Amino acid sequence: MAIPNEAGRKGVASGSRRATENVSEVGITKETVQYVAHLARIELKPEELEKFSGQLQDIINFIDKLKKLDVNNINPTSHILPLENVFREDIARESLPVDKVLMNAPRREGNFFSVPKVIE
Amino acid sequence: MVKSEKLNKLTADELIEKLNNKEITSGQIVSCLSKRIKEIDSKVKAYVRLDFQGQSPFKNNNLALTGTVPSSSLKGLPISIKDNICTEGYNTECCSKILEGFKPPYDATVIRKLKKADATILDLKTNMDEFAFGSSTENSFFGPTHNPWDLECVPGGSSGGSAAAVAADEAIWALGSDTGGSIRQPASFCGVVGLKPTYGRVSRYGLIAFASSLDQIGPITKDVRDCAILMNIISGYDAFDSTSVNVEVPDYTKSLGMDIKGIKIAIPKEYFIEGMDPEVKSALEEAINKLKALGCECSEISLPHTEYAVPVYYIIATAEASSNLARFDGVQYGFRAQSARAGKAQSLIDMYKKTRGEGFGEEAKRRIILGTFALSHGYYDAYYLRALKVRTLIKKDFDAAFKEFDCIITPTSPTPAFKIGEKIEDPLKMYLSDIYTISVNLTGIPGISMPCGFTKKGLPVGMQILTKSFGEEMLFRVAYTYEQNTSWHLEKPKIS
Repeated sequence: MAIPNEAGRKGVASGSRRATENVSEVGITKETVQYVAHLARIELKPEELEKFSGQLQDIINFIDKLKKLDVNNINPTSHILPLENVFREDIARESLPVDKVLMNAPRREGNFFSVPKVIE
Repeated sequence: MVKSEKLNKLTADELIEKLNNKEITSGQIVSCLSKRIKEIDSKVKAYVRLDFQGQSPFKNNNLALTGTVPSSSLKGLPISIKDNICTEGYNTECCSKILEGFKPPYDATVIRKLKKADATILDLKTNMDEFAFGSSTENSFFGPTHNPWDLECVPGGSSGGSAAAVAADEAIWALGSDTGGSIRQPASFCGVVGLKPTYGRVSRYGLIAFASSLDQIGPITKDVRDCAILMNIISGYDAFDSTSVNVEVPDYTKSLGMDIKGIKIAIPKEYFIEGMDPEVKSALEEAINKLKALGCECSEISLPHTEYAVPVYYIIATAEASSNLARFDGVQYGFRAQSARAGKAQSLIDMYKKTRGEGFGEEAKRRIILGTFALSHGYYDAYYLRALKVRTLIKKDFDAAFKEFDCIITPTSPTPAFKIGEKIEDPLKMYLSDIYTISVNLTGIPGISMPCGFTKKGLPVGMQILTKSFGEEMLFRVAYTYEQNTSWHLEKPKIS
């Protein structure tokens, strides 16, 4: 499942302009949570929406302490090891049999995973 | 002849000797564990999907899960496994509804290694916070585990089931996983030994991913020797994990029993902060005095970026989790929402959203949303990228410390075990209970937690020892010497 394209174009519904200027002013509204939940493909109940927006605001306010630090000229560490591409010889090897791959599928048809209709 | 009803109380090392001498069989150990689990697990709830109806709680009564390698070292000794480590053909659900009924089609590398060493893999899995999201095991779909030392308290988390099972003699030893303290903090709350190995030391293949740059599998055991024995089995390079590191695995048991005179220990002043429980503080001070008496040189240091570790962690860990958990979409495995199944003109996106809305628990949803937010357009630079840069600063603090010192000693947690329900409605408060453990994952270094005292109410206190990457031998050396000069590890909870 991929984050949809509109994420890149539209940005998060509220407060996205402020983000680059002053992070501590980021307001986590119900609309923000609703939109991000949609990006994450999660349907929230109204009471969850209410609860999460308050809690996430607290967490974001706390996280904003990172703004105190000057991080100019600091390289990001996305990974702790000096990562290199790991290659192996291109030799065919045994894979899992189809039945084993499909044995946990909530729905299957023949040798395929079955999902709701995607194309009209 | 040994009284077989007490076998569950022994350490792995003691049992291996008896198995080697043919005094006992692995079947006898399994039946002792089975009896113990039937007796007390309705109170402790260390295991999940437990059925008390049958003779044995184990689904596969002959437990024909063992390997048969002639040079086997464990002789069928049983081990308990956290619910997020894949065991072929046996439910592995991360204690989440969304993985309901999932039976992995393959074994995790650690399970393969254990089978090769002739371990018996118990088919009951241990309880955990859903997808390892939590510090108390309260976020399990199956309900919380109870701390064997005080059943009203949490066992810590997320590997709370593994730690409680070992503490209550419902397991000989166990595997957990540690992304921000999930092995060490429950080990500390339950009075047992837990090790987070160096990132890359143990293969993550078959560990259901939470945050891939932080996750490690590690042992939870009754003492330091067992921890070293288990590390010998599970460590090593694995071509199936591209972040596995090809560094030779030493025999960790050779580090046990060495003297620790002249070892340079650093005590970070930022870890002895306000809000730290005074009984934890005094237990740690006593432990440090003990280490000094054993010949260690202890000095105070500063790790100036300590206060930023929690916010950095909760950005990076949730960002990685939001990406890793995208695979749970009701298509390939696990749960698909019923409403989605029945709907005639149901769209694929509706099916995803309903499945994930119903299948994930509250904390999982909160973290996926936080992580998605931190990665989203307009916030990526301000949150995610900034967190990665501060991670560099935290790493530099530790690199500098290890240029001068052999290890760092801290409390494992600022408090002993807290009450069930105490923090569950305040996620931020819960996150702060990881304050001493998460830097270790952010920097990739190894850390061990071991018992170093008890509070007046009888709750265990844990000491954490840290060292540089691939320096596990140093941890075993210090931990073993301290353990053998104290008796905390011999205390057992009385479960009534």
